[in-house]
Amino acid sequence: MIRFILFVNKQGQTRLSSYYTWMSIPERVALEAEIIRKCLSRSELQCQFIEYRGHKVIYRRYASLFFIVGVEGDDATGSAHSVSTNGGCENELAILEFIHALVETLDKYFESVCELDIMFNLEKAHFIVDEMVINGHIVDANKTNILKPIHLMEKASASEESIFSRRG
Amino acid sequence: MTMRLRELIRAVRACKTAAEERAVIAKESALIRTAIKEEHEQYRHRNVAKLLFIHMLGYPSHFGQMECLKLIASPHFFEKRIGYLGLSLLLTEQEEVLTLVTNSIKNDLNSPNPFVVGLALSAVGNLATEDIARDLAMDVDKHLKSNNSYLRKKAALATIRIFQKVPDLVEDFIERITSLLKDRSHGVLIAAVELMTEVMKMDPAFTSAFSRLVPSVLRLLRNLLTMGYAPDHDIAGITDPFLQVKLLYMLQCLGRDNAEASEAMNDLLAQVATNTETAKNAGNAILYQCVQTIMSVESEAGLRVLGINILGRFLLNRDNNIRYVALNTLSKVVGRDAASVQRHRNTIVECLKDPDVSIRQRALELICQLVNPQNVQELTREMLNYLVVALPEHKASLCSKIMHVVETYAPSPLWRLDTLITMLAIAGDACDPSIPHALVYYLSTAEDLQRYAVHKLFLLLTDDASQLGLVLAAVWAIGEFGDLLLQAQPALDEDTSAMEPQTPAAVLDALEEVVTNHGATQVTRGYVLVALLKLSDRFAAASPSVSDAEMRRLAGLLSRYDTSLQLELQQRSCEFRQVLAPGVEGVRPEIVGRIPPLDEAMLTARRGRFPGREDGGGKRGVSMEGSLFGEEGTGKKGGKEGPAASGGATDLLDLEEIFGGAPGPGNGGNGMTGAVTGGASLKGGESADLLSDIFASNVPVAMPASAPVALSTPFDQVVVAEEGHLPHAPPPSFSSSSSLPPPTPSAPLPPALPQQTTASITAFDQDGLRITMELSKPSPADDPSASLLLCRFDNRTDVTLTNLSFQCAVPRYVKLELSPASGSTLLPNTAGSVTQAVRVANSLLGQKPLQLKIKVQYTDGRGQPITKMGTVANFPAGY
Repeated sequence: MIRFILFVNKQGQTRLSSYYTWMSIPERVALEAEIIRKCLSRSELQCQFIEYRGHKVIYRRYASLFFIVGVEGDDATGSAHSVSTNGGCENELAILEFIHALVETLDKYFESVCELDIMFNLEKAHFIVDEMVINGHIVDANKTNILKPIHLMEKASASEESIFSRRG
Repeated sequence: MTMRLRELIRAVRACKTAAEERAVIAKESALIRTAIKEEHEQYRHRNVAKLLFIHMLGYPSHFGQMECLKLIASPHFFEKRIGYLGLSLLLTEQEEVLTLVTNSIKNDLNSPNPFVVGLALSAVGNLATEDIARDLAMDVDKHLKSNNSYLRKKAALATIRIFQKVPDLVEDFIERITSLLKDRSHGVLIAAVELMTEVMKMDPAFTSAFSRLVPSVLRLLRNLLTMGYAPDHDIAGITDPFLQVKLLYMLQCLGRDNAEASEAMNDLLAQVATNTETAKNAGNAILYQCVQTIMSVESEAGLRVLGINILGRFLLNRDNNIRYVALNTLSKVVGRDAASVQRHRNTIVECLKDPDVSIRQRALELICQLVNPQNVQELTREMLNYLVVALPEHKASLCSKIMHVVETYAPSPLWRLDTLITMLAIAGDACDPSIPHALVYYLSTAEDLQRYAVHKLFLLLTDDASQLGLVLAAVWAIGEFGDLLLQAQPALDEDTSAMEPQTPAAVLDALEEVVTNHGATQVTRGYVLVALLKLSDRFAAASPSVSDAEMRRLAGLLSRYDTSLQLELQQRSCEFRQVLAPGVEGVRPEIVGRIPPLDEAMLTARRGRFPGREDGGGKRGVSMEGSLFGEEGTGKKGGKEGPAASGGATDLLDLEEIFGGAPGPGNGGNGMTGAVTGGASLKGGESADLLSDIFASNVPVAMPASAPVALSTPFDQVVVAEEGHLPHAPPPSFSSSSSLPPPTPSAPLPPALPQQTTASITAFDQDGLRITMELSKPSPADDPSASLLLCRFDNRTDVTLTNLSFQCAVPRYVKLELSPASGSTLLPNTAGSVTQAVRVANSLLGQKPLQLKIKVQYTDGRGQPITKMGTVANFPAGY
C-alpha cells in the first residue's frame, strides 16, 4: 500500500503531504527533508526509486516539483517468501504510472498546473488526491472519473458558498 | 480578524528565514485559536484551511480538531468537505476525538446527496477505528450495492479499512465482495481487486474462498487485452494498465501453492508475457507484474524460463527503472531458479559498473546470492573491483559480504589469503575489524603460505600505509614472521611472481613509517611495538644477516614511546625493553616465540560465550585481539596453569575471556576468581547469584574496559610472566589511578610502596551507618599485592541495627577473601562495635586500581529491612 504522497519543490519546501500511516509531525518533517535531499542528489539518468528506512520511495520530477510516493519497502515485513504477499508487493513501475496519472489529472484540473496552483489551492489539490487514494489504496486513476465528481461538488459548494459569504 | 489563506501563504513565502516563518506561523496560530474560542462561525472553514497549510509546514495544529468536527456537522457541503479533509489530515486514529465524529459520519452515510456519502465513505476508509468500523459496517455495506459506481468503489475501499480493524467481519462479506468482480466500472473493479487481495493478505485462509474466482479474473484480464482501443482507459496504447497490474497481482495471490489455479492461468500469463507492448512504462509495468506472478505461482517450467528471460531482457534496457526492478525481482527468484538466473550472470555483473548507485547495490546483492563454488573466483574479483569504486558508506557492508563469500566458498587457502589481503589493501580503512583478525587467523593456520603472505603484506604496506586493517594485519605478520621476510619467496605458480628477500633495514623502515604515518593510531603503534619485540627474536635467529647496528636501531624504535603520554604505549615500550634487557635470556624465547596455529573451534566457542560481543564491531575486535595474543600464554605455559580459580564464582566474569588463554603462572591473583562473598549466611553456590546481583547494576566496575585498558590485556600476560620469573625485577611502576600524576620517566623505580603503613578510608556513610576501612599491607615484601581491609561499622543513629550483613565484590583481577563479621548487631551510637576483615590481592597492582562493590543489609529500628549498595574506589595508591 501507499504510505505517503508528497509534493516537494526543488528548494525542499513541501507543497502537499498526505500520509496513510501514522507518523508524528517531527518524523514527517525529518522524512520529507531527507527524502527530498536524496531526490535532489540524483541525476536524471538514475532510476526513480530510493530505499529509505523501510520505505520504497518512488519519485518523478515535473519542472520544479517532485511528486513522491512512498510505499512499503521490500524488507518491511520479512523477505522469507519469494515475492511474498507481505510487503514489497507494490509494482514500482505502476506507481510511476500512477504518479503520472495524478499529475495529468492535476494538469487538466488546473489547466497546465504549476507549483503555485497547488500551493494556493492546497485544499483542491487534496480533494483530487483524496479521489485517487483512500487509506493507501488506489481508488481510481482515470482523469474523467476523478474530475467529474470534483467539478460537480465544486458547483454545489460554489452556490452555497456565495450565499454564505454574502451572509458573512 | 484573521487573514485569508492566500494572505497567509504569501506571508510565509515572503519569509526570508526559518525564524521569520516560525514567527508568522506562531502569530497566525494564536489568532486562529482566538477565533476558535470566540466561535467565529463564518471563518471556521477558512481557519481549518489555514491549519492544513500550517500542518503541512510541520507546525502543531491539533487545536483545530474540534473545528473539523463542527464543520463536518455543518449542513453546508463546502464546510463539510473541508471538515472531512481537515479531519483526515489533522487527526489520527489515536485521537479520542474520533468517537465524537461517529454519529456525523453515520448521518452522512445515509445522506441523499451522493457526494456527502462519498465524503463519509472516504472518511471511514481513511480513519475508521475499531469502534467506528463496527458501528458503521452495515451502513458501508449498503453502499457496496449502490447503483452509483462512485459510491461502490469508495465503499469497497472503506471496507478494506473496516476489515483491517475488525477482521472477524470478513466472513459475512465474502459473498458480497466476490460479486463486485462482475462490476463494469473499472474504478469499482480496481477497488474490488484491492479489497480481495487485502483480505487474502490479512488471512491466507480466504484464498481458497476466492480461488473459484480465477476464471472471472482471467476473463477480465483477457477482455482488457483484447479490447482494442478504449479511449476512457487508454494509457500509451494499453487499456487500463492499473487494472491489469492489480488483476495480475490477484492471480499471483490466488495461484500461490495452488497447482490447479496456476494451471488455469498458464496460457494467459504466457500471452501477457509475449504480447505486451514494452515501448512505454505502462507496458513494462504489466510485464513486470506478469513476471512476478509467473515466478510466484506454480507455473510451468517453460513459463518460468520465459519469465527469467524477460528479466534478462529488462537488464539490457536503457531505462534504469526497468533495470532496477529486474535486479530486484531476480534477487527474489534466485533461490528457486538459480540455474536460469546464472545464465544472465554477465549482464548482472555489468550492472555493477552502472553509474546509478541504486542499481549497483541491487546488482551486488544479487551477485552475492549467485556465488557458488564454480564462479566464486570470477564473482569475487568483480566484487573487489566494485569495492574500489563503492561509496565509502557501503564499503564496510561490502567487505563483510565478500568475507562471507570467502569463508563459504574459498577454493584454496592461497586464494583465500590473496583475496583477503587484496580486500584489506583496497578497503582496509573501512572494513570491520573482524576481517584483519580473520586474516591473521588464516595466516597462522596456513604454515606453508606464511612466507608468501608476509612478503605480499609487506609490499602492500610499503606501498600504502593508510589502510588501517591492512596495516594491522601486515604489522602483525611482520612481527610474527619477520624471519621469513628475510628469505626469498619463489613464485608459487604461474600467477604469482617471485619476491626478493627484504633487508632488515627495509623492514624497520616500514615499521617506522607506520608509526610516523599521520594516520597512525594508538592501536597501530601498539601493534608495531609488539612486532618490534617479536622481530628482535626473529632477527636474532637470522643473526648473520642482521648487523648489530640494526639490532640497536630496533631497540631504539622500541624505546621510542617510553616517554609517551599515552600510558599504554609507554608501558609497552618500557616493559618490552625489560624483556630485551640482559639477564632474562632464559624466558625471552618463550615470551616472543612464534604463536602456534590458532584453533578456530576454541575462538568460536569463546566468541559465542558473549553473544553481545557480536554486535559491536569494535568490542569484538578487541576480543579477537585479546584472543590472538593471549595464545602466547597458552602456548608457552600450557602445562603450568595458575592456581585454579576458587568456588563457583569463576564464570561470573570469566577471566579467560579477557586474557584469552589460561591464567599466567606468575601472580596467583591473576588467575583467581574475581569475587568471593562472605558474611554471616552466604556461601558457595549462592554467591554467584548474589554477585551477579551486585554486579548487575554496574558491570563496568568489574571490567573497566575502556579501549586502552582492553588494549593492554594481551600484553599483561607478558608482564605477568616476567614478574613471575623475576621476582626481583622492579614491578611496573604505573598506576592508572587518575588522581596521580603519571610517573616521570626519569624515575623508573616505583614510588615507594606503602610499607606497613595503615590508611583509613570511609567506604560507606548513609543514614547513620558508616563503614570505615583500615587499610594495611600484611606482607609488603613477599606479596605487595595483598592487602587487608579491616572494616569497622559505626552506628551513629539512636536505634539498634540488627541482622547486619556486609558483602563485597571485586573486579576479576582482584582476589577477595571475606572473613565473618564479629557480630551482626550494632548498638546505638557506637563506633567500631562490629568489625569484619576483608583480604584482597590486586593482581594488576600498579596498573589498575583496587575497586570494591559493597552491599550492606540490615534491619533498622522499626524492623524494616534495608539494603544499600555502593562502590568503593577511593583507595590510595599502592592498593
